[in-house]
Amino acid sequence: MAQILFFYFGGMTVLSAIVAVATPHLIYSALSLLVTFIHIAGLYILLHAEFIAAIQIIIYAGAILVLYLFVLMLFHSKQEPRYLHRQLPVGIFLGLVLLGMMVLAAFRSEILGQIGTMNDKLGHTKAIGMALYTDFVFPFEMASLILLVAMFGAILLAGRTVRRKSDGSA
Amino acid sequence: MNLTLISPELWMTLLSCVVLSIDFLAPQFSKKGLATLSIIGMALIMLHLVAMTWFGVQGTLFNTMFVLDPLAIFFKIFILFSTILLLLASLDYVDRLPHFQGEYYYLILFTALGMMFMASANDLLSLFITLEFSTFGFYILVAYLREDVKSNEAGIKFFILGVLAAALIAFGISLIYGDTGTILFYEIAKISPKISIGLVIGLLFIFIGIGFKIGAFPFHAWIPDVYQGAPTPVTAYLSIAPKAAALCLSLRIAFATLSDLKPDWVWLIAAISIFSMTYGNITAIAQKNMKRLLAYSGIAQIGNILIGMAAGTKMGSDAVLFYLLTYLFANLGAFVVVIIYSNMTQKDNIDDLSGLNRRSPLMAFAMLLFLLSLAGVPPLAGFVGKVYVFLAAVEQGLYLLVSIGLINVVISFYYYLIVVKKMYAVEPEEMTPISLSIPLRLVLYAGIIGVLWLGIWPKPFIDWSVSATHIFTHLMSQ
Repeated sequence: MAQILFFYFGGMTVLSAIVAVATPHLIYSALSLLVTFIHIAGLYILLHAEFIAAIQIIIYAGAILVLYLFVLMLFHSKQEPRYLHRQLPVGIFLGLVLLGMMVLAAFRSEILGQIGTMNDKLGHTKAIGMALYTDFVFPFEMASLILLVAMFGAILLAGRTVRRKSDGSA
Repeated sequence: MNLTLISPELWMTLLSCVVLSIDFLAPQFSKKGLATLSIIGMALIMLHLVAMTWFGVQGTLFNTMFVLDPLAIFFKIFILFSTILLLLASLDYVDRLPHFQGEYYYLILFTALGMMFMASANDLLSLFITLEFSTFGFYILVAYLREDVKSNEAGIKFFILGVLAAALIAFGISLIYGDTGTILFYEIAKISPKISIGLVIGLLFIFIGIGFKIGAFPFHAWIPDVYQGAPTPVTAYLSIAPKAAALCLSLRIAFATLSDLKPDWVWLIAAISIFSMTYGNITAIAQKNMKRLLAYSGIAQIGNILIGMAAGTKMGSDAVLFYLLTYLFANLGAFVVVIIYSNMTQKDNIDDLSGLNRRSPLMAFAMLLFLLSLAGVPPLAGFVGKVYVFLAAVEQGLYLLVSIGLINVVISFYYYLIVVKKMYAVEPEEMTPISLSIPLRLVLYAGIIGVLWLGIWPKPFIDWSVSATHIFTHLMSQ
């Protein structure tokens, strides 16, 4: 069963990634990227990494892709000229080199077949939560303050300006 | 868990949130009131910190990720004090902002909070997060004048280069973690005598990131444009507080964590120091804009501070702290004069300062003192600071470094004195006197008193610096 699911998720990831690169319509491209992300999340679940799967869907499929779509809709582009296709051989070559390096690294390193000290009964999400709220609570809370400041920044720098009457008389 | 250790930061968070809430819940509340509230709040937090020093409160929190020791307290008081002076100096400026007046104050407060955390960061992860925290506030503040092209340009440049520096630091941290399996400073200190390639490359990356924040030579490229484009009070703040906080971090890393590797990093810091001084001083000569001049002089001053670090002894770290104090008064004071002047005339070129003595003798006299202190003329603060730094280096036999430093002092006299000459000897184009508001007067007087006091009777401050660095006693020279 897991084997079938793996081939389904893996195959769909590859197929939709090819569509994302090959289709001339930018919106279709972005949408097939969404399919890719969701199927990668499926692969994570098969690996029992449910937390990363959830993060994958929330951050990539949710936040980043919506951002892409917004940007694309602002572009008003009908069809991009296929200028990239002249560089297709170069792209394929570089892709193969990267793939080869990844395969090489994967077989050379000790990552394959290594089993960590994670307590399986606890579950990943719970383990990450425990670490975040005990050992790493200080940087974690700090990150929330950074988000607050970043939110101000977005509003101050890009929000609509409401001109206040200057209270210079005071 | 002893939350008293982190209480200054908690109060500061509360203060920022209160200022923020008042600003949007009660828009009719006067913006000057917000500033007053912030200043009083910060003054109380400063008193709290002084009391903590008095009772000798110290310790670590959160699995040693947060540390409160005399060094952290020194830098926290330093940051709060410079923030208070800065808020006083920006009151008039904020009044002229077309929009988002209240937001200015709590962004400054949040940035100060980030830097207070930075002074206490005691592991690589909180180093990264606190560094980003304070820099995020600055990204916004630098681009604060939305209608001003220069401010936007400065904001974009600062953001892109800042993010690059952050990426380098994060990469360095990941290398160190991958190699040593820890991010805590005290554990790295245990490992550090054993040099491994990941540790060395990672640390180099972190030093590049910190070098970017303090604006030392090869990483200074953003400074002139950002200083010129940013709102002048923000430039003043940017030139002091984040540098101090980043120096606190680098002292913690170099002196406490990597003290075993001292022979290796001394040469690195000495080289950066030489290049920063020489480059900063020589380029400053050609500047026409006062903010750019101060930017380059800031690069040179960082070079001087790094002489103290290159000494790598307890005395060197005392000298760094004391030099920062002298730099605070002189540099902030000089910027305040620029703030007042550009507020009045919208101009900030050096030529525009011509004949300042005729228009406002107080301002011209204050500027004279600040510039002479930056140059290092006795009996002003900068002189004592420079002597202290040079002595620390001579004690370690770094004669080449010291002689280049001395040559640079001479070069720096030239461009500081050009400004002085313009202010006193050239006739002004217009004679309208410049009136000073009370808060600005206060800052000017504070600067003058500081520059004179640190120059004439520096003992209490030297004692304070010496006691603040007692964690480096293992580096006491024999």
